Amino acid sequence: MNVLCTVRHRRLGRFSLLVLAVGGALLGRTACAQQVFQVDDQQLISWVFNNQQSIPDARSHLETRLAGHLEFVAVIGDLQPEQRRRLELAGQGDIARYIADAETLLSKLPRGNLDQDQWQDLWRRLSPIRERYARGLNGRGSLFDKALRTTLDPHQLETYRTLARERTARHYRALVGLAVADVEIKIPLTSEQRGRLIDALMTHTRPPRGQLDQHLQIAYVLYQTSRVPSEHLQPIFSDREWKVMQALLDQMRGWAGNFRQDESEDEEEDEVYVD
Amino acid sequence: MLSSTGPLAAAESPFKKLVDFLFDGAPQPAAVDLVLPDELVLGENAGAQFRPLINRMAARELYFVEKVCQPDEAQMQRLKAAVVKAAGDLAMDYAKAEHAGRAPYQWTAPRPFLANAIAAAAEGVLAPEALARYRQEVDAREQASQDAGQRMIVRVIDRRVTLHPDQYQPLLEAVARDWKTEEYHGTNYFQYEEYLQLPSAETLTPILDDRQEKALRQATNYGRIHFGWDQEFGFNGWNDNGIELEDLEDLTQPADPQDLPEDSPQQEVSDESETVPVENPKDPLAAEDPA
Repeated sequence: MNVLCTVRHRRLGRFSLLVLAVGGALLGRTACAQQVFQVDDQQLISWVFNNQQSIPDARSHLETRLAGHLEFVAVIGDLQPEQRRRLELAGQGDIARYIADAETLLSKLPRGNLDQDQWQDLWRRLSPIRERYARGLNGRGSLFDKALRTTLDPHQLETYRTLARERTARHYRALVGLAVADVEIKIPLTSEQRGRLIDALMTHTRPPRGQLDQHLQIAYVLYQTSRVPSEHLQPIFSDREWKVMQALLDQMRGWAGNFRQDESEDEEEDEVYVD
Repeated sequence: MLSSTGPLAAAESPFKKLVDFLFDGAPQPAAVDLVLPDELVLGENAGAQFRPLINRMAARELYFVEKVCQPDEAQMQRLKAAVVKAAGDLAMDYAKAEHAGRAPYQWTAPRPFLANAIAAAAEGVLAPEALARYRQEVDAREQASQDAGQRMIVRVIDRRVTLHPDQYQPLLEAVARDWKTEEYHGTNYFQYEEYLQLPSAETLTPILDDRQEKALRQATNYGRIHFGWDQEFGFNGWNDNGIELEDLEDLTQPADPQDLPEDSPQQEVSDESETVPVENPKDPLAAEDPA
């Protein structure tokens, strides 16, 4: 009898465990259906400062980039110490301004467990400062850019702009080569076709302002290609190849919204970006 | 009551085990790890999942040789047979690589493999001048692809360290010397800068100064990124719908053995084929295009 009771109690106990386990699993499943994101200070700093692990690291990285930019300006050959000092001060001002803005933003961002809506709102608030970092701190509207115009004499300024445009052209040539290699997966090209296509794109398309989202680099070139008048491109391809190319370009025209802010607005604009 | 013994016990669900535990089921035997033999994994249909995309690549390679060399119908059949066999071999190669756990970037690059199969089949089938022209175009294409990657690597370095204009060309040449084709296959790779494998210190140190080396060390690098095999080799969605050869039969059909190239490099040219060299290749499909 005692043995039977013991067995029954053990089975009841285990059955209770089963009920509790199933109930808990159902509750957990309900919670998991709504995704939860855990966010801490370290992650926020990493997202704001382009994967740097701390604000001092970010500052050091930005100062290293500024030093590189100053070395680039010095290539013009006759940069005086006072000129360099003024440019460095201006660049430091841009860094200080950026870090102050970033710290202000960081102080206002939520931490802990975020639901889907909070997560999306977080990234919406992070995007402008991340984009600002990606584009570089010394571009149009920056203290450094203004200092360049007022510190360098006209000859120095023109030399600097020429060097910067050449650098931009080298960078864009790399993107164009990559985009053409991508097109060749679709349409096998001869050497002659490849050369003509690269020449046409370098002539009739424009590099982006500042820095693009790196994952959209090929898409940017192909979007630019979609805006080239067909008389510059069609003769490069056979009729059959052109039909395939047209379908691709039709698709890429739909990317206009992604790149509006990356396109130069003024054909005569004189500022150049050195990142 | 619900218990079972033997090897099949390994396949029973955790829920069943819980029920057995709660209701005094028989103890379950320990699960046995099974290693599937190659014969089960690499059977007759091994690599079938790769064939659709490989077939598309193969069709475009056939289009390329047709454009460059303008083979006649009989010659084209010989080349097609060779590429069908090559496509099957490549699919099996991928199946073995996947089964062995190799990352896709370590798999055989498909375009050079298929192009080499065509070139090997074209020996003795096409005129020597046409074959030379095809090889030249294939090499140029490969070189252009490498050139694109090398320029992107230098661009990334320049963005991180700000090169002096005089450093650009020496760095490009050094990157080209240090280039490992097996490390960089498709274009996708160069759009993830934090995952790029930059040249070795031995390559960079002679060209960069201390400030630039410091800047490079400060930049983020997460190690190599891994794509699926299709993206690894450059298929990223919008280039899937490219040139297709609708007038060819399904490339999954087995090749006719008599169309396959012989092992001997000295192949006898078939009486049915003409190996007339074409000096000025034109679009081979221009006459057939209804538009």
